[in-house]
Amino acid sequence: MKWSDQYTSRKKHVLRGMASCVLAVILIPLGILAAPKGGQLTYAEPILPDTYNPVTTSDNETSLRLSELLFESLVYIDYKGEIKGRLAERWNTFNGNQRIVFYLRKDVKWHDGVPFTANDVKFTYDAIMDPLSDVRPESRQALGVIKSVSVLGDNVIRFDFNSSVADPERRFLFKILPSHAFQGKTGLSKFDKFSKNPVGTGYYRFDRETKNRDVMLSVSKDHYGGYSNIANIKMVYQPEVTLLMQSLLLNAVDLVVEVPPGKVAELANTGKFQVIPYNSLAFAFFGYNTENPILKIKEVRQAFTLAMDRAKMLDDIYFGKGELVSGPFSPASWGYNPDVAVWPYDVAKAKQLLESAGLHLGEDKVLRYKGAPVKFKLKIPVYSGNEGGLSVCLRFQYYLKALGIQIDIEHREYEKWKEEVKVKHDFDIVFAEWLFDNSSDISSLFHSAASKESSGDNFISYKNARVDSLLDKFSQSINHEVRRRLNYQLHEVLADECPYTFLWTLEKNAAISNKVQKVVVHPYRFFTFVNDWFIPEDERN
Amino acid sequence: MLPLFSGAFAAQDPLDLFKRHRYEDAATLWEKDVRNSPLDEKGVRSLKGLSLASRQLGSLYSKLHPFSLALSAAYYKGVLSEAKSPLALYYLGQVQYQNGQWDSAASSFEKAGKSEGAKVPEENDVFLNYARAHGKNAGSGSPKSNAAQWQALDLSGADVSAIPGDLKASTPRARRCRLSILARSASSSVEEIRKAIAAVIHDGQSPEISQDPGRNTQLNFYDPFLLETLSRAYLSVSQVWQTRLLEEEKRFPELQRKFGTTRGLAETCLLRGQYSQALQFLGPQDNDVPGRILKAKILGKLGKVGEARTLLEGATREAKSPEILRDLAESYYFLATDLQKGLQLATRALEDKDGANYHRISAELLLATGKSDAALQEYARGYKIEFRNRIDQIDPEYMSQYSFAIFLSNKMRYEEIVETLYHLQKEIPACRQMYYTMQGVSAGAARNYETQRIFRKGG
Repeated sequence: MKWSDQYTSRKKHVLRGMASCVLAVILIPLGILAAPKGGQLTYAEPILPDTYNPVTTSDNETSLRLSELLFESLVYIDYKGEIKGRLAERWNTFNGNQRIVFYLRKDVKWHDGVPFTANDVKFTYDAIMDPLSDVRPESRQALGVIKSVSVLGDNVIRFDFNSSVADPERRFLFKILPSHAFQGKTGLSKFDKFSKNPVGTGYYRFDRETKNRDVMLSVSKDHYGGYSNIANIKMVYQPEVTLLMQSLLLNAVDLVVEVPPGKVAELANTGKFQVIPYNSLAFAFFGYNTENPILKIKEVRQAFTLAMDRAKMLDDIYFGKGELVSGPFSPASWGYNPDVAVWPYDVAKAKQLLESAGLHLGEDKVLRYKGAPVKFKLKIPVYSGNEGGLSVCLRFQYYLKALGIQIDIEHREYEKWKEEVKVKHDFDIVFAEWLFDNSSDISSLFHSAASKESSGDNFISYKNARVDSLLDKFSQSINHEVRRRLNYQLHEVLADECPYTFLWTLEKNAAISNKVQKVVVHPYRFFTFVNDWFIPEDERN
Repeated sequence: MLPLFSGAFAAQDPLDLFKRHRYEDAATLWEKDVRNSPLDEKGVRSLKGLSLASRQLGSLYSKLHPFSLALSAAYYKGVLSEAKSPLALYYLGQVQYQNGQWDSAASSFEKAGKSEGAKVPEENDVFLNYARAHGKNAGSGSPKSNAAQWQALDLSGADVSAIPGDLKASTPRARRCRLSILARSASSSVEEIRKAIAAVIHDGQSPEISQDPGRNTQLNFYDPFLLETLSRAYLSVSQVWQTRLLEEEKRFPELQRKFGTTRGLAETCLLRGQYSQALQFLGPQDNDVPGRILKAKILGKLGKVGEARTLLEGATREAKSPEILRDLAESYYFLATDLQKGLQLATRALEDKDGANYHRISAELLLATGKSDAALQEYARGYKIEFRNRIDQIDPEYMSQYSFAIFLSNKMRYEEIVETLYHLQKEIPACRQMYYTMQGVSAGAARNYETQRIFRKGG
C-alpha cells in the first residue's frame, strides 16, 4: 500500500469512527443501538474434536472451544474476573458456605426445545461422579466436596458440602448436559450417540458435521440472552498448517486460533487481520519414560538437558518467538519461580554426568550402559505443514548423537501417538506440549499416584516422595500464597530432577479478519465472549 | 557498570543502544567521553546523550511507579483477605501513603501496630503520625531527627550531612533513603549518585523483608518507594549533565543551537517538580508553539490553570503539525484538565500520523475518560505484536503503560501482564517487585477448582 493510500485509508477510518461516535452518542441513550446480526464466521482447527460432549472430552482443544459455543454452565467468569450467573439467575450460600442453593433461569430451552430444569443440573453432577463415566479424574475431584444434591423444584437446586467451602459458586463452572438426551443414564462414554449429535443451551446449536469433518453451527434464536450477533459459525478442519494460513490470507477462513510464530509479522503487516495475543500458559518439553532403567537415572536426564542448545533451537526453529523455561510453568504463570535458572548448554558437563551414572563412551563413539549401546525411541506424531516439531526432534537426535546416543524417531498418526504415549506408555522419550488454564496445578503430571491411572497425565511414571508431598499440600490448600510458595518449591525440585527437559513457551496469537468486530478472546476457552462479536452488514460476503 | 539493562555492549554504538532502550548501557559508553574537561565536540555530543539517557530512565521509573503501587495495593489487600499479616498492613499503608490516601494509610498503620504476629518496624509509628497529620492538615508535622524518621520518610532537607549518625546504613531502606537525599542535594556529585543508584538497584532485586508465617508459605515485601526514588535520582543526574552541557556547548555554537539545552533543563525541572526553577529556564526564544506548550505545563503545575489553558488554546489555534497536536493532547493529560479536548487533539494527530507515541497519548486519554476498551485497542494499534515484550523493539514505557491499562480493565488478561513483567524484570531488575506482586494478584484471581489442561503435540 502506498503512503497516500494509507493516509486516505486512515483518514476514512477515523472519519467513519467519528461518525459512529456521534451516532452512538445519539442512539445509546435511546437504547436502540445494537450490533448488527447476521453473517458467518469461518474458523480453522488443525485437530479434530474427540467428542462434542463437554463432560467426556479430554486433551482436545478443538472440543473445548466447540463446547464453549454449544454449552453453558451455571456460572461463568466475566472479563473483569467477576463470577456471573449464566444458567443460574442467582444463588445463596448458607451455614458458612456449607450449602449453596441455585435459582435457575426459567426461560432456558435446550436446542431441541425441551425446557432446561434443575434435573439437568443434578443429572450432570451424577454423570460426572459416576465411576463408569469416561470423565477426567480432576472433574470428579473438583466436585468431591459435595455431600448431597437436592432438586427443590424445577428451577431450584441445593448442594450441601462436606464442610465449609471457599468460593462455593466457583465449583460450578462445568457445562450442563440435557438429562433427556441420555434418558437419565449417567455412565457416559466418549462414543455414545450424544457425542456426535450434541444438544446444548449455548449461543450456538449444532447443525451437522460434513463429510470433510467440518462442523456447522447456527445461532440459537431462542437463547434467553437475546441471540448472538453472528448467525453461523463454521469450523473447518485443516491439519496442514501451511494451507491453513493460505486459507486465511485468501479469506477462505476468518479466524485462526493459533498462528505459527514465524507468520505473525506477515499477517500483522497485511493490515487485514487483528492479531490478538493471549496466553494459555503452555510449555513444551521432552518427557522421559522413567520406567526405562537408564532414563530412570536423574543424572542421565540432566545430561540430556545440558546437551541441548535450547536457545539456539528456539531462535532457529521458532524465530525466537518464545521464552526458555526452567521448570513446569510458563513465566506468565503465578507459579513460575524466577530464581530458578535455565540449565545451560554444556556438553562437557553432560558427558561427565553420564560417566558418573555408569554410562561409558567407547572408542567407537558409542555410549554403553552395562555393555549395551544406549538407544531410545522418540515417538512423534506425523507433522504436516508445520515442520517446527519435527525440526526440534531432529535437533534433539543430533545433540544426543554427540553424546554417543542413538535416537530412533518413530512417526505415528496423531491419535495413535497419544494412545501409545498416554495409555500404553510405549515410548522412551516424547516431545509434547502442555497447555494450562490459570490454576497452575501440576499434580496430575508428576504425582506418583497419577502414574497408575489409565490414560493419566503422569505417563512418564515419575515418582518422587518430596514432589508427592508438595503436591499433596498444594491440593489441600486454598490459600493462594501457600499455593504459590508450593509451586515455587516444586519448580525448584523438578528443575533439578529433570523428569522432563523443560524447553520453552511459545507466544500464542490468534488472527481474525478485520471484518469481525468487538473481539475479546478467553485465553484458554477462547469463545467465552463470542456473543458480543459481530460482522457489519457491508463486510459480509 | 550498573546492572540495569546490562546486555553485552562492547564495541557497540551508544546511540544504537539508546534507540534500543538500553539506556544504562548507552550511558556507560558515553560516560567514557566526558571524563576530561574541557570537552571536545565528541565529548559534548556524548554529554547530551548522557543527559537524555538519564532523563529517559527517570521518565521510565516515574511511569513504572504508579503501576507498581496499584499492583502492590491489590496484592496486599489479597494477602490480608486470606490471613492476618501486620507486615502486609504496614506495606499497604505505605502504598496508601504514597497515593495520598491519608485516612486509609493511618488506619493500616494503626492496625499494623496493634496486630498480633510478626512485629512491624518502628518506622510504622513514624508513618502513622505523618499520615494522621496529613489527614488533618496537609504539610504539617515537623521531622524529628532520628533514624526511624529518616528511614521512613527521608523527610525534608537536602543536606546529606544531616543524615543522622545512627541511621542503619547497612539496610536497603537506608541506602534507598540516602539516594533520595543525594538526589535532592545540589552538592551531590554524579559519581556519588550513580554509585548509590547501583547499590539501590542491586538491593531492589531482593525483598526488603521476607516473612515466613509457616504453612509452607513465605511473603516477600519490597520497598514501595524504590521506583520513585530511582526516577528522582536519574532525573537529578540528567539535570547535572545538562547543567554542565550549558557550559561545555558554548564552544560549539552549532551544537548549542541544535541541543536547546535550556529548554531541556526546563523540562527536567518540570519532571522533578521544580516548577519555579523550570520557568526561569524559559526565555524569549521559547515563544514558539512548543515553548508555549511547555510553559503552559509549568504554569498548570504552579496552580495557574487559567493561564495554562489560555496558552494551550492559543497554541491549538496555531497548531499545524501532528507532532504539535500530539504534544498539546499530552499536555491536557499531563495537567489532568480538559481531557475531552485532549482526546480530540489526539484523534486529529492520528489522522495524519501513525506511531507508538501517537497511539499512546490517545490511549492514555481514552483510559482517563473511562473508555477502557477503546484505550486497550488504541494501545494495541501502537504495539507491534511481532515484537511482543521485546525491549529492543518496544519502548519499555509503552509496555508498562499498556500492561497497566490491561490491569485496570481486564482480569482475563492478567497472564499477559505477568508475562510482560517477567520480561521487564529481566532487563530492569528493580521491576522484580512488580513481577512478584502481579504473580500474587494473578494467583488470587485463579480460583478454579477444576484444573484445565491439554496435552498435545509439541511444535
